[in-house]
Amino acid sequence: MLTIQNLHARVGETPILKGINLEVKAGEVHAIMGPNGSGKSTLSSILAGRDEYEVTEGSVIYQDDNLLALEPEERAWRGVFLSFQYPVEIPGVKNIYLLKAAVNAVRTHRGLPELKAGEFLRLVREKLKVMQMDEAFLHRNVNEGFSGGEKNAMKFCKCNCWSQHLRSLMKPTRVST
Amino acid sequence: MIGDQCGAHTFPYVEVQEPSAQLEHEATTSKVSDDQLFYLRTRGMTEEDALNMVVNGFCKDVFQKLPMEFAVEAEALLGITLEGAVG
Ligand SMILES: Nc1ncnc2c1ncn2[C@@H]1O[C@H](COP(=O)(O)OP(=O)(O)OP(=O)(O)O)[C@@H](O)[C@H]1O
Ligand SMILES: [Mg+2]
Repeated sequence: MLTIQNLHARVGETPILKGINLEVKAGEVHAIMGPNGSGKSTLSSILAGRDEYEVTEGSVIYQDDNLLALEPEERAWRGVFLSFQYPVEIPGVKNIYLLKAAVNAVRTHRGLPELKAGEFLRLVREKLKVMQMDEAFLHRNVNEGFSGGEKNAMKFCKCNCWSQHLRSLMKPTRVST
Repeated sequence: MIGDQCGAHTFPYVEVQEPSAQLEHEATTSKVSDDQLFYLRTRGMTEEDALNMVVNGFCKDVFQKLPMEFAVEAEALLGITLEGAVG
């Protein structure tokens, strides 16, 4: 499903990844470990489409496509999901609003009808329950004032709202580190 | 402000005639961060939808702190489309 071959990447003049090879088949779980600063977040950002990293060599094939040629949102529509090590805050935008926009953006591009308010609420409530999160979190601004553990729990709720084929979860612990 | 061709020039100027008054002038601008836009795009939103969401959210936060008559006018101004505004 995912094949990374001899991936080299740099930021500005600084080389960061120097020849990564990784093959992930459907259903497999891989843990990428390494010392601080070894490039784990960088790899994850490249897979999600962050353009500050320049790929200088190698390739990433995802479901028969050249992943690196796709825009970040196109990757999301095809089922790539990245969680952030340091989630960003978005002032004035409530979780529930972002979540609905995200779910429906993905659905639209997959040729599915948008979820109506009621259907959407049922879906998120179910996901919140799994993570034992209070519904009040939905009405707070995206990541604003969330504790580390709450951010993590929220990210699981989010990532369970549409189906994905490739998930890259940074430090996915409920306990904040 | 959106794009790399624009700029803003603010000249903070406060005249005080009452010696006991406490005044502050705040002239700050903040940039829609690449992190925010990138985050929303990885959640499936197009660049334009992402920009709209960040700008609207930011403005809503500010408008809530304005008196009613300003808020109404500001909302109307915000209706101006941001289409094609990504630099
Ligand atoms: N935008 C950037 N500008 C300059 N250097 C960068 C940038 N992004 C990453 N680096 C550097 O690349 C290296 C790898 O960083 P990365 O964040 O990928 O490490 P990591 O393996 O995720 O570390 P950690 O375990 O601490 O999260 C670090 O030395 C970092 O300073
Ligand atoms: Mg990291």
